[in-house]
Amino acid sequence: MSLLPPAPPLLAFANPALFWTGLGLVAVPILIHFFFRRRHRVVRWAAMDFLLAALRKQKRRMEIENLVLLLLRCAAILLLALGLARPGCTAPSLPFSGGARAVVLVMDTSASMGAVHTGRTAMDRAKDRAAQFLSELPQGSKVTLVASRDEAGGGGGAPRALLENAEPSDVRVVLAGLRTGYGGNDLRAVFALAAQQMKALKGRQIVVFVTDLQRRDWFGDADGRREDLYDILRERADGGIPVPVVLVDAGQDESANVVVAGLSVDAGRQAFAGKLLGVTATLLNYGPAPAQGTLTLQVAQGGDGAWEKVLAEEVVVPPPGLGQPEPLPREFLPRVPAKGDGSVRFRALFTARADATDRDRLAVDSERLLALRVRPPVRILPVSTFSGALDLLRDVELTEVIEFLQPIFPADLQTRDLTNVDVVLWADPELASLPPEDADKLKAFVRGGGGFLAYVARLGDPLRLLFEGDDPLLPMRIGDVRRDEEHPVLIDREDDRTQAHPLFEETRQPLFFSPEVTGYAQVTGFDDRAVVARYANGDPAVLEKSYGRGRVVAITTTPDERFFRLNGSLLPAILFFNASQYLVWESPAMRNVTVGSPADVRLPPGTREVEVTPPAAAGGTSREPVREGATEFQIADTSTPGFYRVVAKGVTAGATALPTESAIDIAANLDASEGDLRRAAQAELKQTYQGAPLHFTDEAEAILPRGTQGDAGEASRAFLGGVVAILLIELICAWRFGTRRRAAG
Amino acid sequence: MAEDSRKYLDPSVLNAIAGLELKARLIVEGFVSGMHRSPFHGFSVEFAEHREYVPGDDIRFVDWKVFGKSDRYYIKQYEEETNLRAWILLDCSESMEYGTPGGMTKIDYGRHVAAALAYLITQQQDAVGLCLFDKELRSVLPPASSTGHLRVLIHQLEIARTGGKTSLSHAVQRAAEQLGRRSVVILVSDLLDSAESVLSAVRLLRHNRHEVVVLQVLDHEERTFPFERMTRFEGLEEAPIVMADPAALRTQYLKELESFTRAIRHGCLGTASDFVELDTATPLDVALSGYLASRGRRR
Repeated sequence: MSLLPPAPPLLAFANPALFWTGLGLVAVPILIHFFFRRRHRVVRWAAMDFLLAALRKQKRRMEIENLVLLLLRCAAILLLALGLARPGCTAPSLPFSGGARAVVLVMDTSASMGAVHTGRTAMDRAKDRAAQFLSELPQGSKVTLVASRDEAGGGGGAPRALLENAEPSDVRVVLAGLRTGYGGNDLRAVFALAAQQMKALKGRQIVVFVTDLQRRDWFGDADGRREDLYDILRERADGGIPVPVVLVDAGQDESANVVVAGLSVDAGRQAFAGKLLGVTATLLNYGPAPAQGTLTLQVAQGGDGAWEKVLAEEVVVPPPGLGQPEPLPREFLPRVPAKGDGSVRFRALFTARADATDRDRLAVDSERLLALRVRPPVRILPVSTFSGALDLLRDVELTEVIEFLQPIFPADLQTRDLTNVDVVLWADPELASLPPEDADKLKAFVRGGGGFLAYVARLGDPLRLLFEGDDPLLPMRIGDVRRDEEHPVLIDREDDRTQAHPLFEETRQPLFFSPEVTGYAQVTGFDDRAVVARYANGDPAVLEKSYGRGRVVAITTTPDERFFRLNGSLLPAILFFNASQYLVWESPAMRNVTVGSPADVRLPPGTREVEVTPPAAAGGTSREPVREGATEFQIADTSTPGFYRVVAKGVTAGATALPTESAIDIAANLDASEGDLRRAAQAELKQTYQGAPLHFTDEAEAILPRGTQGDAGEASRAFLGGVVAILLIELICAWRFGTRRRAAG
Repeated sequence: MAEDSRKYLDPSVLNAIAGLELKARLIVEGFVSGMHRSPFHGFSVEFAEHREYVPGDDIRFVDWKVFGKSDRYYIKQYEEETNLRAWILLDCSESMEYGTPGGMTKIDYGRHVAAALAYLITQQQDAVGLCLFDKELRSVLPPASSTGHLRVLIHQLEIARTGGKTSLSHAVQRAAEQLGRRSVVILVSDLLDSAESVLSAVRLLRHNRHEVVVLQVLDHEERTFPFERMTRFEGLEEAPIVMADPAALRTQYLKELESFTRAIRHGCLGTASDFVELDTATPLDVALSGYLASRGRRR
């Protein structure tokens, strides 16, 4: 059985008598029409042939014109009547409403309404808003006052109707003496009582609930109260014309309007084990005054690790417009994962300082999550006899995230174990030969997921085995070195492909400019898709291609002293830094996401199955097989805030396939606007009670939804405007077609 | 005619004057006072010129006197000029009964026009006859030029009563049988018949070598259709009754009238006949003098 009273009429009028009178007057033009048809003169006419011919040709037009005229006049009178009757409507979708109301005014008297801010309780604000509403009510309105919790009535905190069908002035008196209770609301009982009270009311009904939108009440918890309330409101919405429910938010706890809008690490996209990591939290204050509270940072390592509090600091967050990122004055040292790669998870919370009673206050959901992949530094094995290049690399201080292994001579490749190597850097201009078995070993290394970074200028014939032989790592023919000391060339940073490629991400920054290159290998026979950077003269500068599960990057110039000592150039540093990440499986595209958006994960080579564990509230772990060679995986559903753990299971490449497991965490956060708790609460309520006729009001807004006298005045003016428009049409027709004279007839 | 006496030519004033003969005289004196000669002439028989004989010419017209003097054949050519014979055909159908209240009916206006013209023609010693018709020929008064005959003609006009439908082609066909030799035929009618019927009547008269003058008499209201209120139009000549809003129909009505008038005008032009539109609100001397003056100039 519906808890709702019968639906009120769609339209109501402040002066219904005028409307009915006007409706009656609509008959006047019709009567006049017929009267004038009866009242006519008689003419004995000779030139009937012309008259009959004219009549034959004009009859249809005259009939339509007369009908339109008649309808226009009826409409003019109807609009006039509507305008004078000051109409209003109960359907919220209609643009106007007005007239006397039958109101059920529910006051939230839960304990949280006693929360004090700037010297006033939420109940004080609620009373002000209710009093304002009562004063705005149209003449003749009746009000039933309901307290959501009544301790005095012996009901043990159940809702109670304090006044029924009373004058607003009487309600104001009772309202003044209203006090908060000792606990939360049972909203189901409150709405049931409101619905029951509405049955006794006549006229245009409206429920006004002045509340602090306390989260525990309105969003329910595990005992299912949310569903019950949802059903009540659903019934109201589905039962014909819904009675509007206006939720007047009297919460206004500004200190709770602080949000951790951002949480990021300073070093970049990855966390490297053993390297210091700076963390920055951005706090935004949506309230009107500075907010004071505690910012807490928690860290969990290794994915499954427990949360550790690493920081708890009292902060003052300035109001909007003055918000600044709040650097956490603590650096964090991620631990090296015990086995393979790992994750580090951060959680930042802001807790407003409690000015009010703690027993029943609005929850502060100001939390932000961050998950980072932690891995050891990229291990680069230089194959070179040119030690000066390695010294230069150290000069650009990339060693924090790149670990240069002891350089080897090409001849040492035969004995070198490559299993703990991420990237082979081939930078030996003096190489005389490369045995085919060494070439096969390098290809197997890349095929299994390794990276190969080569400087191909002046490398001579041996390297052609890798680039020009059978099954080349990156097919191309390496020609002579072009040298031009007088006309050096630059990498064309405006090239679209260069700008889009991860290796050159930084070229979009103003900081970047490429070095002038005076010598580089002229390559031919390459697939144009492999070119990711060109010189300004059009020759290829950098080529890259996947090979097996690994990648190959070829740079047509050679790292020599000139290359690195170009004044202020960051190209070597950038190339090394980007290549170190690009050539290993980590995807720069992997990121923490906003709730609801898909999360892309780049898979390590050899992944056969992906296991996704969503946050606890979203359900259990799911497993999905991955086709061989797949490098991407997408988590489509990130609708629950929290951490999503992705475990990629596979086997290693090479002759001996060993099982591998690699895990990363992705943090799904609410949008930064969640910090405006009042709006967030309203949005969440609207989403939760979808279809229910809920309205919200802010401080300065009128409570009656589009139903003030002013709105009715607008409607009246609109109708009267319609009358004027019709009269104008008539005048124009009279001037243009002589219809007014016919009207007189 | 003095300016103050012109007021008597106003249709509404004329209406009040008894005696059609007097009225006719007033009208004619009104417009003849400015003319030196009448615009109506007989058919000439005076010698005009000689022309050399060519085979096929009628030898009756060979001038033998010239042949005697010059030994060459010449034909005498004559400018025909006989005494004028004029017929006035007055439409007495029921539609001619229409008239603006307080003004002249079309038949009255037609009577005055006919009387004035008869007076004028008689004054120049020419013969004038009268046919009254509706769908049939009602009466025929053969042409004569005496003063006594004029009185008889005017009397005929005075006693003429309207009634019956209009059928111009039929009535004129009957009249044509009575008209005899070549004459000037003046048709006074509202022409409320089909344009084809009117024009066939004109063509018949022209075929019989008559000179035709068509005077279309319409009431001012018929020409302007000034009604405003809802009106019940009861058709004369057995036409149906129509309830209509005249204001809505005015434009279309005037278009229909104009279209009809244009057809008649073009038809008359094509048969070398005169077509004159007369409005019963127009003073008769103005109406007639305008036409007669232009006719005089043409001759």
